[in-house]
Amino acid sequence: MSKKILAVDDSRTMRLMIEDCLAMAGYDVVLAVDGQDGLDKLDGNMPDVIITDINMPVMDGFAFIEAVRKGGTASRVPILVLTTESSPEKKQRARASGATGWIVKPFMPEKLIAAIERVAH
Amino acid sequence: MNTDRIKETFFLECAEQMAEIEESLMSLHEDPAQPECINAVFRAVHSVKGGAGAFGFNDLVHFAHVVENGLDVLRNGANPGADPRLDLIARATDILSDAISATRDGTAFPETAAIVGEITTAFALGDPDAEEEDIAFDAVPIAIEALEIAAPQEQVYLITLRPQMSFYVRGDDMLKLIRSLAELGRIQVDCDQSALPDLDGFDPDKAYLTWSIRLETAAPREEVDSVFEWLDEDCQFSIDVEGAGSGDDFDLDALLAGLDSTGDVAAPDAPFGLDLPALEPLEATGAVEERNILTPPALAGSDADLVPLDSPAPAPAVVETEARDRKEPRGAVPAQAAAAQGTTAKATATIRVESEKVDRLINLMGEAVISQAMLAERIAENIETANGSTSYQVLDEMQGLMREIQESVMSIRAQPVKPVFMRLARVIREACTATGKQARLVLEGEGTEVDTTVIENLNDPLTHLIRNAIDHGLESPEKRRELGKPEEGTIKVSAFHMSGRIVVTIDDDGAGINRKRVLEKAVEKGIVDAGAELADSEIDNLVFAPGFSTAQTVSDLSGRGVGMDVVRQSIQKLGGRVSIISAPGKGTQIRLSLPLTLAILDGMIVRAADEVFIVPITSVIETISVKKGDINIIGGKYVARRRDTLVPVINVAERLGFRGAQKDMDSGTLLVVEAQDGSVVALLIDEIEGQQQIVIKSLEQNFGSVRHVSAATILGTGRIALILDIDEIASTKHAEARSHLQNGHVERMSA
Amino acid sequence: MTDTQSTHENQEFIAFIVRNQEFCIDIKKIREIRGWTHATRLPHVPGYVVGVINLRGTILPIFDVAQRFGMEPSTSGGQNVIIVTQIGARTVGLLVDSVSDILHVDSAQIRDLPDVESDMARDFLKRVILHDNRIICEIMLEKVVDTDQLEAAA
Repeated sequence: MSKKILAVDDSRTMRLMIEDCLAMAGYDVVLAVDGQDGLDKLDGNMPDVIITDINMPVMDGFAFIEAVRKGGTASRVPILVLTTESSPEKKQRARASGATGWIVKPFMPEKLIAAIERVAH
Repeated sequence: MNTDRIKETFFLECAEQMAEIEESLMSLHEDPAQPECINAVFRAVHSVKGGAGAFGFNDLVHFAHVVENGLDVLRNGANPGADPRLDLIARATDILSDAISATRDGTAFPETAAIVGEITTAFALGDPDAEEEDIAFDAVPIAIEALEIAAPQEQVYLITLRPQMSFYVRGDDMLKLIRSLAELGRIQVDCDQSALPDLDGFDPDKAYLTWSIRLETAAPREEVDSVFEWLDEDCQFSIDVEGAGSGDDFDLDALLAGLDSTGDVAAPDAPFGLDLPALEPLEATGAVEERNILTPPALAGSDADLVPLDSPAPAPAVVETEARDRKEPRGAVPAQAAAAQGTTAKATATIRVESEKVDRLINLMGEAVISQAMLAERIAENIETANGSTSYQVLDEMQGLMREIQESVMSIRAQPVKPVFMRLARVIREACTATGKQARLVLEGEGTEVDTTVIENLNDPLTHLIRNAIDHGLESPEKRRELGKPEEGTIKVSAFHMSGRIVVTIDDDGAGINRKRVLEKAVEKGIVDAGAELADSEIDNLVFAPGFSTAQTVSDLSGRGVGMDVVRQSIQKLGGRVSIISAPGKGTQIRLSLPLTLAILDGMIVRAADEVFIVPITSVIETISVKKGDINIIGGKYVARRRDTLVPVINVAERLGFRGAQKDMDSGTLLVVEAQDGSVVALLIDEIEGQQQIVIKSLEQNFGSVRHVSAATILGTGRIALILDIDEIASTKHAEARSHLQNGHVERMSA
Repeated sequence: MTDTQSTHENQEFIAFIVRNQEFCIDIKKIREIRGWTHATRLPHVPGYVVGVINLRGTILPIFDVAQRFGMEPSTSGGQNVIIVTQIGARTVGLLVDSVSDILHVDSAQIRDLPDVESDMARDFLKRVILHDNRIICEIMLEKVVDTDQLEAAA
């Protein structure tokens, strides 16, 4: 069975890119437009890996990661942060929130897939 | 990847982001105490930058980055909403918008050096070029340049890993790490379980194992490092090259730099290359100290290397600290923002459909409507023989369904006018800069929906009208102060639905139209005769007359005034009407009334001069069957009595030039219609054939605009019928309009 | 306007008759040829704009080539033929007497228009094609169906 990835990003462009890239690589992709939507999508959709942006409206990536880690069935799912941010503080904060890994946009498809494979259980 | 499609999406999204920016800037103008608006602007610019980076639009990335940096400084300031530098940001986003268009169209990238300089100075940013590295959109997630090693020969790495519980909590997995390493070469793994307590002391929420791995590989160092790239304080680790001297380019610093934490387990001066156990004490003390400086809460209880799973405290604590340290409003915002946006963001599920598919659907719908009309005609023909009542019943039902389907189909393409309205903020900014005036934009009913075909065509006329309002309508700040008006003028743009049309009004609180001047000019230009007695509204509407150049007329401060007749023409082309009402000293209102769609209208089918025409039902007030003596001649013009008033009569055939001027005026039908300027005229036609919803077909597409005709349609018979342009027919020349005996129902200002 | 790609290629033209004179149009610009149907008159247009007809849902304007060239107007009737042409994004119909031939023309057969003292030739003709002892003028389609000056002409 193909691995399921939940990708959370407020940018339609990014969602499309991630979806294209991952679907082509044979992943089952679930998309969400912000952290809150991401949490909603987790309901009944147990992903193998979560990819999330940081800067998002409604609920940002940090809050999303914290919410996932707080409990529930997905609390141990690896979470990769995919963002344009590259400041050490932001990375630190993502880490503290419970992110597994950090990828800087723009991503190369191979890199993203390698990252997913690296953390997927 | 389907790059073209994604690119298209990107530019679409950019447009939305720019609209979002305009909206947020406007909200801030209204109420500066809205940090979430600054964040929204920041996010939008950030998003543009991110997408641009993905496509390698480097110029765009660089510029967006500068704007973003400025915004970052701004939003961390004391009162970002009231910061005067917002104006600079607004101008920068205008240029950003141009930059996006240029990138999309492949045209010359706008000049950004000046504004970049301004932003850099205003926000005390570093040299934008110097921080190149930060924004170098290298797809590699960690900075590993320093780790380049030329020698591809096999190396032996000795790796020690001691994961903390948080390592597992974050969803990582030692097996995965080891497997990744195994892919690089031969590995030998030892697991040190000595720290494992007795069963009594065992805490399932703690991690006890230390792993030692010996890796023989020809892979370059950075590949080995990349396996560990996300490891941090929650997994103590060290990598050592067997037999490497201290002079080796083994630079863990660089790795750590990429790993985002200076407080990592291996202090820079750690004695690499020595036996591994010796490292432990050093790590434990040195590292914790350093970490304490950086992120105290995260490591508050970590001298035991263990963070209990059931204690989520560290994470929120860090967030709090950060929010305070960085003065980032975000920390406080989410709840508020979620409350504000939550409803809209989640309200409806959407699907993406190519617009061509929708267009095709609409075209097919149009054909279906025609076929249905044809069927109705056939049934009518055979009404004597067929079972009329049943057929009619079915047909009636079908007609109702068709209309409903059609409305649904059209609603797919309906869009709120908001994006067009948002763009006006920029128009105002630029016009103000050019004229030295001050104005703010107030929007109303921007959620009003209208067919995209109409929206696309609204932009230019609105832009012209807004410019005109500022250029010719608003007074200078000094003048306004003298007059006791606020220095900042207000331009209000509203949209609403009214009787099957969309009405857009543009109100300014400026000086109003100088009627005396306008009339003089009109006489000078020969548009009206000297000494003509015109009603105020007629004078006002003279500014739309062809040949009446506003740029020369009321004022020409900026010299950018666009002839209002151009605006009128473009609005009329859309089947719309435009009128102006002015209150001297108080302001001017321009009112546009447009069809909700350019695809369909309810038409009255009439016959005149052996041709069939369509008259939009919305403009028909009543119909009168002509009897002898109904139409009289007064002053050489035909008029008809309509209750207490006399209405000018226009012989349609004659007006269109299809028939000799005179025929008997004792028969036929009068259609009393109301034109956009409020004037009421009666159109003399031969007869009314019926009413029907018709599909509008453009004449411009293959031919061009035709006077007195707004468009065409295809009838049930397959023949083409022209749709009459009532406004043009009613007031082809102002000289004629003036002669109207009765200037009825001037549309009242709603403001 | 010179057609550079024609220098080495064979070209095909549709020849048609207007008042006993033969003209032609590049076949690539022709979408179809159809019989006469009733056209709906347009107001305030020059006489050579016959009107509009329904071409499978689109509004097709019809230009009377004879009248455009300054000849007697065509009496539209059963004999006449409409050549549906594509000019850029526009689709327009030309009313002609009949279609006479399909010409396969070598580039050597194409000549520039000689310097003739005729407004009509200068305004509407593009090149001359020598074919089977015939001299057939290629018309400047864009000029024939030009509507830019319509308002003035009306």
